[in-house]
Amino acid sequence: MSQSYKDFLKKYNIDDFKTKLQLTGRTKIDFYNDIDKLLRTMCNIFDKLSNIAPMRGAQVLMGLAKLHETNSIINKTDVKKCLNIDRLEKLRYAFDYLENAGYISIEKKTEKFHIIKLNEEDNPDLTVFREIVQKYWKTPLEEKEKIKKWSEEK
Amino acid sequence: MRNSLKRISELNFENEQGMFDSAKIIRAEYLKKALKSLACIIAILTVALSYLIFDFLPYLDRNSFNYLISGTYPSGSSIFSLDLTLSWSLFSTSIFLTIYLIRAIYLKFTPSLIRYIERETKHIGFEFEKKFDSMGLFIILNFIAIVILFYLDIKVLQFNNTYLSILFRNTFILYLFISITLPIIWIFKIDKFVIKVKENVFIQCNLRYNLSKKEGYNPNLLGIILTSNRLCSKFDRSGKYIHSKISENRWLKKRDMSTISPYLHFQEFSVPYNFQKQFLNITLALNEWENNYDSNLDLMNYYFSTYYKKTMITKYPGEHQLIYLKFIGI
Repeated sequence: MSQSYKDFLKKYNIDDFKTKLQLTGRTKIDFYNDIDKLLRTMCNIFDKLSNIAPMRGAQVLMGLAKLHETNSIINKTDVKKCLNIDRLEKLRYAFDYLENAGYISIEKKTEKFHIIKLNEEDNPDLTVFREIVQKYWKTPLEEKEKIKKWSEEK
Repeated sequence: MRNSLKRISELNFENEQGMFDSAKIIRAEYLKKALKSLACIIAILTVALSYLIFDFLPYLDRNSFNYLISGTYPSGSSIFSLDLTLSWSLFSTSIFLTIYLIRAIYLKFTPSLIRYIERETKHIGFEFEKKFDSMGLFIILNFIAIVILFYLDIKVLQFNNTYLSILFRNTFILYLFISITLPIIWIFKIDKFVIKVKENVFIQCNLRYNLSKKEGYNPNLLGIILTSNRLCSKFDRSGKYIHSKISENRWLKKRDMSTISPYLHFQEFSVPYNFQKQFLNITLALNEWENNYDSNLDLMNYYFSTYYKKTMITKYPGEHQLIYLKFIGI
């Protein structure tokens, strides 16, 4: 059973066009189970996102997932910038909530420098979440830059 | 009449402003409750200390417990007829009430929040209960102690036999010790806010919020920690595995806050806004636990080797695939 979208692609060589996908008997059941597991995980992610209490909570989680792609160390300001939010105070409740719920871990290096991570160890569904977000989601910062670029075009 | 009309504020967590206002109400109520408890503690300790300094210490100087039991008193001593009864009543009550009130301060539930959770729980068909049995236990145990002390004081209970006297004294001192320690243990172990799910299955609620107004203080974060009843020992490997899998699937907190406890519990974090949903999540985790922990591998093998082979294939041929999928881990 795969806990990752990337593993799933790799397992069945789906992104390798030279290899033929042959599904028979047991392999077909495995394939079905893996797809089912991924969809179930995604449904679980929707359910959890819709129930994160602070209004910015889900955004913070997505921003954090996206930042994992490029940054090895992420702090609160990175998330703030990525979400294009003016003040860190607006995200404070979300950070506290997510930490208390165990969805993220915060390592306090100094009083002002806090390293944040998605808690994939305790919540493996977050791996699929991170992969989907990294692949398909555009951050408000990216969208803003895109619009800015477009508006500057003659 | 006035008390019956006492108004409990309505809490609203549906928008940011409502959330902020509700947090303010809860904080104000809590401060009021904490101040009341502190005032009571100070009053109790003042009375107890006054009695100790002005009445009990001079009395101890003149008499002793042994003399009262054996029925002989040193010559020239002046004895107040209900000294033991009064001293013990005051001593035990003040110790118990002080700890009870300190615990009440620690439990941050306030009337409006209790009502909010009561409504939410009732809406999903359960009942939010305040289990405060330590007070009852204390009253029963101490009533018996006080009755015996009263008989000692009025000299109805006396022993001429030295052996009996020593036996009674030691047993009674042990009883007095238990009558004060047991209710105190109950305050910490038994007294709690719980939601009973079914027989022997319950979820304990603890409140967590920050009162200090230092920098980084969050007025809105009002967390309710939901903790299940004991599941199994932390050393039970199969239990630990099932616990870990269910926690992962349901995004439950895996790091138990009570690291000292040798038992596994499910734990979920909620705020008033999503209390119902998080409660359902932890309850369903308990349901999964019951289904998985009891039906272990042996039971599954038994099912596979006998019932499934003989009955299911012949009776329900169309369900082969579903049953197979079920056992390979879906």
